[in-house]
Amino acid sequence: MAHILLDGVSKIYRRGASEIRALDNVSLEIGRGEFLTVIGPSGSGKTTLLNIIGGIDLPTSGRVVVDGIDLTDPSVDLTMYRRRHVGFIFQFFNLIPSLTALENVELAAELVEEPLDPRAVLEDVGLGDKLDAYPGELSGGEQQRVAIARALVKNPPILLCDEPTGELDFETGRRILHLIREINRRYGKTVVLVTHNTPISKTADRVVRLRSGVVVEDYRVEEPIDPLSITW
Amino acid sequence: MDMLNLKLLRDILSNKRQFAGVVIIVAVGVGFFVALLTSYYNLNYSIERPYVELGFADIWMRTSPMDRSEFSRLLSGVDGVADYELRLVVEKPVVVGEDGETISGRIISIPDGDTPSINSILVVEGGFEDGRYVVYVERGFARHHGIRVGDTIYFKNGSGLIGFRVAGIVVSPEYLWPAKSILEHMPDVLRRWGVYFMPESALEELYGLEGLANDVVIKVEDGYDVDEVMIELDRVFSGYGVEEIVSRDEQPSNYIIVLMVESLRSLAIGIPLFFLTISAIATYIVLSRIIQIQTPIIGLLMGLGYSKRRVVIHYFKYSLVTGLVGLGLGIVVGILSSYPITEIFASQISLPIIYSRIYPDVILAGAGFSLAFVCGSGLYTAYRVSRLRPVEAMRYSGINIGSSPGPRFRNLFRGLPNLVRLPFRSMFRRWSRTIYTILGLALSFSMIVIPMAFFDSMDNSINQFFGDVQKYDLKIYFSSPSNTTILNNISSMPGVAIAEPSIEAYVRVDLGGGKETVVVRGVERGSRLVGLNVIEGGGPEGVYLSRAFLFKGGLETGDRIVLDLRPINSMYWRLLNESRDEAYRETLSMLEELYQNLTIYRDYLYMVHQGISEAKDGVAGASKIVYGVPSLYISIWRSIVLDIAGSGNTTIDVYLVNTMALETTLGELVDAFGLEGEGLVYAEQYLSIYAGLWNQSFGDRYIAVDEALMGLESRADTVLDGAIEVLLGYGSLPTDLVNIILLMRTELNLSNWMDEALLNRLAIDLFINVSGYGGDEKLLYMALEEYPGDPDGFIYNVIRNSLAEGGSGGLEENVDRLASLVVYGDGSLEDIALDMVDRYISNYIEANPPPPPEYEVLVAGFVDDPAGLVIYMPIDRLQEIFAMRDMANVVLVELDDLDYIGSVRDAIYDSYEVLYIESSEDVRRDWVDMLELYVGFIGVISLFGAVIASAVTYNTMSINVRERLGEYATMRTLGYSIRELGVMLLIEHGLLVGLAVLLGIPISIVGANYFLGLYNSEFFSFDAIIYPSSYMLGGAILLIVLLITAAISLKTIDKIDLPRIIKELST
Repeated sequence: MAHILLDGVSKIYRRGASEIRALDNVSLEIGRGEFLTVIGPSGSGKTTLLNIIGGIDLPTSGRVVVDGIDLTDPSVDLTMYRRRHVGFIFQFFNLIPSLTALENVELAAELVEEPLDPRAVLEDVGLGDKLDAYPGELSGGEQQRVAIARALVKNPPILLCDEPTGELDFETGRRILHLIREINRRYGKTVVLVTHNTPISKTADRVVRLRSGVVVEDYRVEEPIDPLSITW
Repeated sequence: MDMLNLKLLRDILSNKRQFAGVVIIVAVGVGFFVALLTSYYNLNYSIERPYVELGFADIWMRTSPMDRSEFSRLLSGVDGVADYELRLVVEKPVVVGEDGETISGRIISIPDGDTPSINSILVVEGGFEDGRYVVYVERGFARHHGIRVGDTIYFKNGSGLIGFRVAGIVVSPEYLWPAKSILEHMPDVLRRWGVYFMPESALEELYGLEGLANDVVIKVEDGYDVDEVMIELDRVFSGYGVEEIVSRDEQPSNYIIVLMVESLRSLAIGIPLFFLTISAIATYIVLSRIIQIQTPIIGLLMGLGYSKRRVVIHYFKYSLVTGLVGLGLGIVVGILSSYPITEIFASQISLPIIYSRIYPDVILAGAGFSLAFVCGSGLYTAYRVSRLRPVEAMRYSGINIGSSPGPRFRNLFRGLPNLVRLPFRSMFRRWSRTIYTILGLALSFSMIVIPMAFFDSMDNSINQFFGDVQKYDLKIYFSSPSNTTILNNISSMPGVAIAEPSIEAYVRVDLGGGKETVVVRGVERGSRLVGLNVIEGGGPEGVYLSRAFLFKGGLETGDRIVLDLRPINSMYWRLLNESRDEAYRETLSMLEELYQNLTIYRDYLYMVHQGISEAKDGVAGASKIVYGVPSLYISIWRSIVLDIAGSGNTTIDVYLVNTMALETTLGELVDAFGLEGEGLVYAEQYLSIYAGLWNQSFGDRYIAVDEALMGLESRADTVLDGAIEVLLGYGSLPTDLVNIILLMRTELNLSNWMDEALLNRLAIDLFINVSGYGGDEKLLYMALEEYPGDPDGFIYNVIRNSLAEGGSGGLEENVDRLASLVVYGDGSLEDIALDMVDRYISNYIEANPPPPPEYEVLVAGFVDDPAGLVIYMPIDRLQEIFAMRDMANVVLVELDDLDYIGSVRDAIYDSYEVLYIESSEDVRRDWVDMLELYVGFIGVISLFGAVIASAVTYNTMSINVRERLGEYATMRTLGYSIRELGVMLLIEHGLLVGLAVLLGIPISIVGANYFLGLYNSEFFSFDAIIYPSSYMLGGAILLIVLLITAAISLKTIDKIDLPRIIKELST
């Protein structure tokens, strides 16, 4: 059974008389523990797809079922869904500047009944010595690690990463990708990673290419390469 | 359209709520400023107009009644008098209303069939009539007593009550404020005093003052100094019994109005300026943050190539538009609300018309000040942001504004859950923003609390005054000083719990800027009815001054002040003066000597009587022998100014003596005994001896009064005789009667024997069958109510009832008749006007007391009495100063229950000659009425304050949320619910409000002290008191606004387009 199921999902934004079809009848099945990258040019619908999976946006039509939960069912509490099932990693980290690294992670940990140990998670992402640092005192890569730790600490089955390396330099970006990949492998998390950076897709188990809201390509990567060895 | 202008328009449209918020802050600040100042100027104008249109005088002069032509002749010799109006002004009892209440009235003459040229009257109801027997009633008094046009008002004169129809209700520039005198200005004065205008000829006829005037109002010629004209008037009229010469500055109504308007001025300018400043600061806080949010756009614009200047001008335009819209709205609101506010200001003043005008300078001042701040805020913030490099500016997150709070806060709030910790931490993110937010909220808080402080301070002062200072329920002002017997009687009245004596009089004290009239109040040491809460100083000896002295400044504890005992109320003073005057004491010695002679005469008469009686024994039909002991009535009237039919005033020292007894005794003897022949010769012989003794005692310098005192005599003559006899040791009465009289010794200490109330009571209470006087049945009313011979009060009641049914008139009535009943001793006449012997009837006598002595006293401290300039001292000290041992002119009463007010008041009015009885409840109500002027004003302030405070709070909070929308979006994606974010938001804003309240409390205290200081005057001076409830109200309003803002913010957060925000965050 698919961990994430998208069945005929469309998303239409209406701006006055005009209509923007961000997703057009997208159907996908994503398996548990799969590392999926969604690639495509700007405006292809990548982030919309991620948002819909993450429960922060709803499709105009079609069904989205995650872990057996139909996100399009109005009775479903999406806040609870996000709290228990999803961890978000953003391009701009979106850390709370007034909280330290540890506290940012704890902020997420407090939401669930059985979180992982925030300190341990931060140590796992290589920030054991920066627990008390404020985001402003961390480098971009470190901030993204905090964001990853924050996503991870809730121990969600799914990690949704929106251009996680977009704000980072090449080297740091590779390390962050490596970390995400490690988490995927070590903890068996399902990872959906959105990027416009095609080389990154080589590190994934599977690649979905979108263009104008339509899946134009969906293929498995036979031998995903180590993120630390890719270049772009 | 220029693209930046289009952007400006779109920015405004897309943030309508924020724009509206700033507009409201500016509008309320400016509106309040314009409204208050316009109202204040309207009030001034509305007062000034009747002064101009009704010809408000420059000078008032009161003299003895003078022949009008002589008055005019003298005035024509005074330089600087441009115009004048001669008047008769008399204070007489007037019967008004359905209940026939007798109220003291000031009756002022107006020209027959015309209004005066100076101090004219404006008929506001009814109409002006030609008829003579009409009266016009001053509006304030008419309203107070429900007098209407067509009612009849009765004026008391020698013949009884004369009715006059009320032709009109009028407004007079002299009585815009109902002030009888500078010290009698509380609204309750209208309860016992009113002003009437009456055609001159009617007033003359009513009181027998034909052709006379005793008052003049003067317009001073341009270029002349009013003070110099007053000095000249004083000189020219020095021999004509000048009572007072006052300018506008001291004219009671104007004096009060000027003081009130001055204290209002301080508030009407100070508080709006304060609000305007707060609104300007708030505008800066909000506007700068609105612009700051646009930092990335500014970066973008500059990155695109827009010059720094254009960018700054663009944001300046935004501020300008906001400011102009706010100003326009504020000016409209200000002008529209100025009229009702003026009405509130003018509510206590009897203005004929309340004018409402527009004052461009006020609008310009408010607009200029506000616009400068608004535009300055825009310019400054835009300039500051434009100094960033475009790339820095663009990186600046318009949504997720802020930075870390700094390393020192790492361990702060560590143990708390993040939902709690986060709000705490947020406050330390950017100090300046947090401080501005707290400052804005604190100022908002103070804008609510400061106006409330006025209410609280007034309420506190009133409560304190009537709870801790004036603990009595009734205050009885007697017509003349009375002794403590009255006190005992009042104490024993049903419903009276405690009665204490007090003395209240006016003195003058030099407070640095010339002498001022103040009240001196003598209270019992350890008084249970007057509490003196010492707020400064506290020495055991000396006098205590009310709070208003502190307000006026110049006096400190330990200073010495000189009390100038010059009279304010001449009648009152005369009575006081008589009782303490040295010459009066000498007269008493003379009286003693005289009495010795009289007793010789009486004894001889007795022998005659015995002889005749024996002679008549056995004679059929012989009349019963009844005779009276020659009685005395004596008082000294020093420095009496006599004006005999316009012959000019002459001041002489004379004695006022009653010769009635001499003549009536002879008459009685003749009538009773049918004296003739030898008997008559004997009688005449001994009467002449008496007359000789009389002359020997007084010489010929006396004024004899007979009929005038008949009424008094009929009740009191023998009482006095008997009493004096016993007091002087010549009595031969039965022991029980002597005991009773000895009791009287302490009461009737001779110094107060003019006391009508005392005599009245004695006459009623004392009933003695004087067998000691030869077995005759002459009644002497000499029994106390507890007279042992009349245990059931049977005789007492018989006498009381008989007097009530057919009793003669009281002292007051006789005193009124005095002028027409005076005859002069020959010697006096020779001194005065020998050639006018036949014209001495009906002339006016004016008594001028001797120059007052001065007393120096030590200032022991200040007490918490907010009402006026009052000096407190122990009553015994004041009695000593006034030589009024064991006497008082005021009695304070505490009742068992307030339900007794009516019965006790009636009983006292029935039994004693009182000026009036003041109920603390009534006075308290009057105070509240008086303060209503400010209550309305403060209500307006509170309203504006609350609106600004709400707008500031709303804007500050909503911007706070808007700035951190990104954070909230992130938290939403993490899985935080709206409720949890709501809790967080409330904690954060609650913390801000809490800190704002903490900061707002000292700001409020300082502000309240400052503004109350502006408000304080010598009438009322309060300490700034802020009740906890006011703080709570301020906090509650902020909290309510906070909750509303939080609810709106949460709605906004709930409606966050998460994908869009996330997208914005990611791009």
